[in-house]
Amino acid sequence: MFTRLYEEHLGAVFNYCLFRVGDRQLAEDLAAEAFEQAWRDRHRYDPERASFTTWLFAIARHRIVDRQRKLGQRTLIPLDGQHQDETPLPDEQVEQEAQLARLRHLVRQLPDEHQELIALKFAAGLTNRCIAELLNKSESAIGSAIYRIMQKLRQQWEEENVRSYNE
Amino acid sequence: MFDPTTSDTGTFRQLDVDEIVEELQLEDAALVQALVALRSRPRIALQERVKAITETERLERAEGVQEVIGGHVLPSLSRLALRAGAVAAILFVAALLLLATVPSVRAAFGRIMQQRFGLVLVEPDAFEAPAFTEPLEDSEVHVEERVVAPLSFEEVQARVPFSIPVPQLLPDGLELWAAHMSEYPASENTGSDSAQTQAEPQVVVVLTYKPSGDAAYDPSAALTLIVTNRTGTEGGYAVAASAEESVEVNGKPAVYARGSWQRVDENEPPDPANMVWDGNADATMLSWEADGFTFTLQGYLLGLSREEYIQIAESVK
Repeated sequence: MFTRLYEEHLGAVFNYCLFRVGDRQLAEDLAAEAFEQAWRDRHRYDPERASFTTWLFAIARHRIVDRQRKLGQRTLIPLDGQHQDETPLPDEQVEQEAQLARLRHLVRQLPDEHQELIALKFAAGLTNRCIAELLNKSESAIGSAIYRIMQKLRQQWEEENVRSYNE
Repeated sequence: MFDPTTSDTGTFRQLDVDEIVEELQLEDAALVQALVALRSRPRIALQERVKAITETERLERAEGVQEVIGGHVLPSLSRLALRAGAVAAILFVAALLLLATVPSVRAAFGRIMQQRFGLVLVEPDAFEAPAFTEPLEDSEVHVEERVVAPLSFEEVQARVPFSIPVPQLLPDGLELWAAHMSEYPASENTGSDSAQTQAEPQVVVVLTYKPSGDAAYDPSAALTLIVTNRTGTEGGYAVAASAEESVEVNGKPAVYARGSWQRVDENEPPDPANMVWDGNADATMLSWEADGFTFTLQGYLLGLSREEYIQIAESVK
């Protein structure tokens, strides 16, 4: 069973950690630690209180906060670029990469609680219900908050892309 | 209490772009597409690291299964290690090969040279094709397996009839990560010549120390202390006879071995026939007896010298 849970959740937990800390190696360590703790504490899990996904993400979230507290800062290193080899990219793809880089930068400028929502929604791919359960808020409040963040982020992103194009 | 490892929890998958757009009732999917495009695939190293945790589950499923342990050696330590997957798999993935006395394994090893405390010296040159051809020996023993789940140190201490000796000296940055224990009824205490007699159950405690979050070690680095409340135990971790070094711990004889078993072919399973001893690997075992206990100290990717391992061993109280 745990094998299946691992297979289902690894990508989501890892990406959540990556969005939150920005450093791949650290994100891998945090994700692995979350699964290790989940395994150790599996008998403490109560399905009547939360889904397994929520419980696992609560562990990951706690580990991230704990690590950030130790390091004395919230954001460590900017998220990796996606294109990491030396192969030249077509112009169109170069522009796409540039737009993604701008988006990463904008996400990094958001308040921490907004970054948390973005990480849970888009990196982890959680439902609003699951996020609401995790953050102890109502599902509608989560949906509204993400919607507002998206509106603002889209406006900023479009402005940045236009500015970059004009330059 | 619900156990997510044995109960059906439904399935989980990450929402894709369309599902997010629909849930948020967005008119434009471009931003969602871009945010989702920032996702990254976990590297193989992470997948392997987390899969090692699940190895525990696979091994623990053996609980209650009557396993045939053939031959004259009943390796309490290796039985523990075979089941304590969290320890064996995480610490020594493809690094340490445990000696089991299952016939196929013993056939692959060829000759067992000598028992030295918690280690078994084997002749690696005697590798043969693994096969279930060797007949079971007369003294075939059936052993009921028991689960060794990770516990806190306090939980383990509360369950054992002795004060658990622990190292008073540890490398900077290591902290206790997990504790395991396994207990065998007195009647199973074969192969022990200690004075604890058959009255007390044989208990094996495994303490695993790993780097703290910001310690400057490889994430896989670990130090493990295995404590058995017996001396003269039989079985244990297999090391190449050529790696054996006789040393002393607090003036008493001990055996030190540096190196680990490596797979000849990474695509093949860590079967004994597919393993060779690598004396240059940063893996160490040090085993000795003291105060009625058998100790085995294992180090992995810690960069410590033989003398430093002996210092740690001498601090165990």
